[in-house]
Amino acid sequence: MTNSELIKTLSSRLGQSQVEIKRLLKSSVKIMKEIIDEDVGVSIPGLGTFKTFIKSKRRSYNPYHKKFMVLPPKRVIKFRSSSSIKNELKFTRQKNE
Amino acid sequence: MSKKITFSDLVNKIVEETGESKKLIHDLLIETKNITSEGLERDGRVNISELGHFDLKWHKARSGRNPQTGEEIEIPAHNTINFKATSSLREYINRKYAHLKPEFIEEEAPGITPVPPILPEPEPLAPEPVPEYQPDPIVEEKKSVKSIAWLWLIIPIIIIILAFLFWPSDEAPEPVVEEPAQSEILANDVEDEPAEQLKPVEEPEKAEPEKLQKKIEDIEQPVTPAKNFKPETKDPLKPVKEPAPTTQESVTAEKEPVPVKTGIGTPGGTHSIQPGDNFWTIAMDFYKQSYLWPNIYRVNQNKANNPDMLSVGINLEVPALQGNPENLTEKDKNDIAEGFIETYLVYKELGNEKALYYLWVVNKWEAHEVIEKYKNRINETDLKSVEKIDGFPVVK
Repeated sequence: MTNSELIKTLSSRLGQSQVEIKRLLKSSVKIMKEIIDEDVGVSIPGLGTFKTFIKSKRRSYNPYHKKFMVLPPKRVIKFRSSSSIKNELKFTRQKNE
Repeated sequence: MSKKITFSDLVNKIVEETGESKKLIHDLLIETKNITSEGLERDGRVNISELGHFDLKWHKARSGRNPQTGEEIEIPAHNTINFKATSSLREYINRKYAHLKPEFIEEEAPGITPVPPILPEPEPLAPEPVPEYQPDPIVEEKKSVKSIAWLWLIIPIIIIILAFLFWPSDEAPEPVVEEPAQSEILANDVEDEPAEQLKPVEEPEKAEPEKLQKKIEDIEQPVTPAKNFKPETKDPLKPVKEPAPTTQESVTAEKEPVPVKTGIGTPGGTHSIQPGDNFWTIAMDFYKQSYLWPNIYRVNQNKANNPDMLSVGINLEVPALQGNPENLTEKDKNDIAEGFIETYLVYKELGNEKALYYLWVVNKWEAHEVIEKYKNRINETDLKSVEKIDGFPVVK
């Protein structure tokens, strides 16, 4: 599902124009980004929690250069899906296939 | 780390930002969740722009083990929901770490711990030369033993012969003959054996440190230069707005004969083509910026229709610039953009895939007036496809 499909469906369900929904979604995402960046977890009920953690530097092997390298630390966003959506979708693909 | 914002706080923040009612924002988020769930069920993927995408990943059934009891259990096939943040979001949260780059470390550096293990290795090697030398004394000892045996055999025979010879006359000479013989034997024993035994023992001792030093040097030498090695930064790969065409055109330049420098001219004059010349080299000579060659091509289209083919002896006009190649004026930019479009058109006509590059450059320069001027001649699908390309276009 693409972003535009999401906006279309949202606008039809909420009775708002697509432009308006696009604006709201954009600012919601912006707020969420800011909160995630402050190292605070954001959860949307029924969907899951977004959180960052720091992956410390690690040693790795570059098979192209055939050399070991040190990868610098970085921040990673971790999404933990809520149990409700997890259970809801747990066997859907199995049903389809 | 364990801080977490409540859903109502999140809604309040979005309300502050947008000025909409709480209910609407609340419904928006909840509906987003519902639609995400439906979309995942339908397509297996839901994209939310600027945030990321959710994926439904199917895991086959496998056997596992209860970590507490060790009991084997069957894990049924199931889906998991994965989220991947967009690259912009990843870059945004990693901006503090943006300056950090992966660094190569020496292969043996894991290494630096194993290096001491490598150093002791010569020690196990050290005993090896000793056995190499040891066999020699043994062989020599055997040789000496053999020679001694021969002596022991020969001497009695000589004594017997002498005894037979001198038997009738005197018995006295016998001890005289025997004594030097025995002393000789003793001397041989004393001189040969210890000397031969000592020498080989000393030699390996001298040889070992030298070998060790050499080995240590051999091990250390490659380490030091390699430590200084740093990986190339990504920058050369990143296309920059203006130098971008140079990389492309360098390809064309490479295909053409090796450029012969014909001396630096000044823009505004003419240049007569000599063997080895091409637009690339001429632009380099006149403008000192080879990527500006479409500007020369623009003026000389009637003389050289195919920019990749120039005939020797033609006089090409080299248009002057208002500014200079580093500091182009608006008119210059428009002229050059026209040159790029002409190049695009001719390459397009010739069916050369390079054409898109030149259109891309014009689009990137935001020379809207020029694009407007040539609107009828530019292929619309080309323009649209070029507009979509963010980075440097790749020609298959």
